[in-house]
Amino acid sequence: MSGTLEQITTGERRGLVGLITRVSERFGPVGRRGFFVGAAVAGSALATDPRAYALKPQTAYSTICGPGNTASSGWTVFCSTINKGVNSCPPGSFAAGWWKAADSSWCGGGYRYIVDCNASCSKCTSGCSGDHICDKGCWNCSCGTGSTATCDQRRICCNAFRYGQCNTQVKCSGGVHCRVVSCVPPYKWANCTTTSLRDDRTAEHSAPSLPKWGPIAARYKAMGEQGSFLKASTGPVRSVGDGTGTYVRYQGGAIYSTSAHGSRALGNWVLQKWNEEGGPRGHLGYPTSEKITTRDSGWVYLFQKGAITDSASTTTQAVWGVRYDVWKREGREGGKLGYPVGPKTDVTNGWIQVFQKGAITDSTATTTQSVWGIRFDVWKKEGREKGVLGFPKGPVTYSSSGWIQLFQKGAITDSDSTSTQSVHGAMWTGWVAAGRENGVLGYPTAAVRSASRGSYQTFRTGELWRLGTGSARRVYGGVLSQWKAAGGATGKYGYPLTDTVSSNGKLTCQFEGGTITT
Amino acid sequence: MAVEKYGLRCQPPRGWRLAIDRKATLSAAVPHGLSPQVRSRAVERVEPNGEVMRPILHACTIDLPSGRGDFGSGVVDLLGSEDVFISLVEFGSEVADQGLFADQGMPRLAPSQFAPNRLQRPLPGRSASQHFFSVGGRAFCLFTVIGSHSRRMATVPRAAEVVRGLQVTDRQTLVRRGEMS
Repeated sequence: MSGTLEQITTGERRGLVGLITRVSERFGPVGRRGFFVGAAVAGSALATDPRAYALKPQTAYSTICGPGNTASSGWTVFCSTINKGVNSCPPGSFAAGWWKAADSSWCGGGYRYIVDCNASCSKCTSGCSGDHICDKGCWNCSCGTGSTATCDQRRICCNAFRYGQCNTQVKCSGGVHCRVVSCVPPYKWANCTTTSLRDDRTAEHSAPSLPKWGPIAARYKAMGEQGSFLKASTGPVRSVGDGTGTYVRYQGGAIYSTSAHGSRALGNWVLQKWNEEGGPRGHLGYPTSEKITTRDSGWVYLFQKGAITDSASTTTQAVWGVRYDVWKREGREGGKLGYPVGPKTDVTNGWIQVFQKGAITDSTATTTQSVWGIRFDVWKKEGREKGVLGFPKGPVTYSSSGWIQLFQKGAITDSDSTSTQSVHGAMWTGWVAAGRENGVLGYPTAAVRSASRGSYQTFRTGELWRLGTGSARRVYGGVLSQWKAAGGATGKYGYPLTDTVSSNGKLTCQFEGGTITT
Repeated sequence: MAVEKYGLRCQPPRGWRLAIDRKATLSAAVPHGLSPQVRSRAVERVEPNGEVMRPILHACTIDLPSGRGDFGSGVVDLLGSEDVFISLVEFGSEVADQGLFADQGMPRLAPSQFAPNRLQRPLPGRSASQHFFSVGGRAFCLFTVIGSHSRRMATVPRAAEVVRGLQVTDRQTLVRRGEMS
């Protein structure tokens, strides 16, 4: 049921469907596992060795595994085939030597390095004299062949041979348990010497459990492969399933790749956090950067829609969506908010994410805002979104003499001649009625204070006084001076019952004990 | 006729093919301490990526194809029942005289040392032996393949004769000559 490339492309079943159908028919040895599996493997085979696959009668799986993939060929199996997909020496074996093969499609047409993992003489050491290979009964593995579930049916732990450049302190070993591959010389990531040996006939030997060459493998190679924090691959290139991304898992993390955002390596820790946020299909989307080192021994990984970050003073947190937009606008970890200290948290009628020096928050009645610096300190002291101020309604705004940030039920403000204060509740209503910071009272100079029968708040050019739970009344100018001179709220005039108003060039205010006009 | 190259000397019997190579790219450099004048004679060449190319001696009773593997792949597949392939691979003085290379002196081959599973890739009928050792401060692996395990009593002595004739110039002499650092 095989065909040449010409037959495949010019036969009765023309076009892509015909091509895939014909190609998929080559799955004799492994049986049919569905059209899509067939198409995927055939695609890999075409990508890996198109000429050999198209022109020689063989199965797609055989092409992935390369030549000499049966037990009778005599070659040794790949470790990934027998080590749960992991491209490293299995327990009880060690890197014992290496060679390289030129023009390998598995390394982008460059050199591919193959490392023999030889069995340890764990059971005994007899037979070591002379040839440095212990008796078979001493080996930590026994001779066999790979599973028929894979095309890599090469021999396991049969060949009593040693290449000899690695772990030369180990004088005696068993046979070759399996083979590890890399596009980076093994003396850069294993205890091997630089003595170079070569056998180009093994350039296309491989296994379905090994990642094929592509953007991910190229990135992995640039990182140093097994010598990087990723360590060994634990499986082939896999599809995310969204038609966009692919990935390869490694012992120390993963590389995710998209055409739009490149191939990005993530360590296990950030990978776990990312997966908690839904991975590539979640809140954050695909990674757009690798680890970026930041201040305070921190780091940031950027994603399409957010970031994951940590520092010496914080724990690992994700910032995503509109919060990320605001955080980025405010200078990210080096800006006004600093590092996040917690996740996005739902609160009554809204949500909040707290940072080292502030917060980003929103509610059903407001828009997304950040509160940072001293405003955040005051807002926190006042009970944050549950307190007397409620959610922020806007950003901090500046004037020539001060600044103000508005909240649902008040404001936090400051000026050149005052200290930072909040104005809220009835005082806020009174201050707004008086024209706020630009009105007759100016900026607040102190917080609300209790007084006998009521409360008050002082401002740069006047005061607001409130009897019990009534309205706050403004007192300022000459009226304020006379009232204070007469003992204020505890004097003969008592509390103001009206606001001080200006009429015909005079100020007047009605109090419990009379009216003052100046 | 005897051939001497890179501190290895061999005089195989008539009819044997012999090659003593030290592969290197044009951009490979001689190690520090060696003058450019000895470039062609330098026992070691360092590739730009750090790999060190060292001498490999191949002696065989059949033609040696180009592109053969250092341990004889591409050759051993072609051996007839009376044929012999010998590979002497150098590993560098930094690993000599210790561990895997602690044994001293060129090994003496004997039929009892040969087994069908001693090849990198077992092939029907073939048999091989492998020895790691040091000579004169230089570390080597001697890998010998015979075409037929059942004919080892006849073929191994022929291989042993070639091995007995192998001579290795010690490291100190090569250093003195400026051919090794």
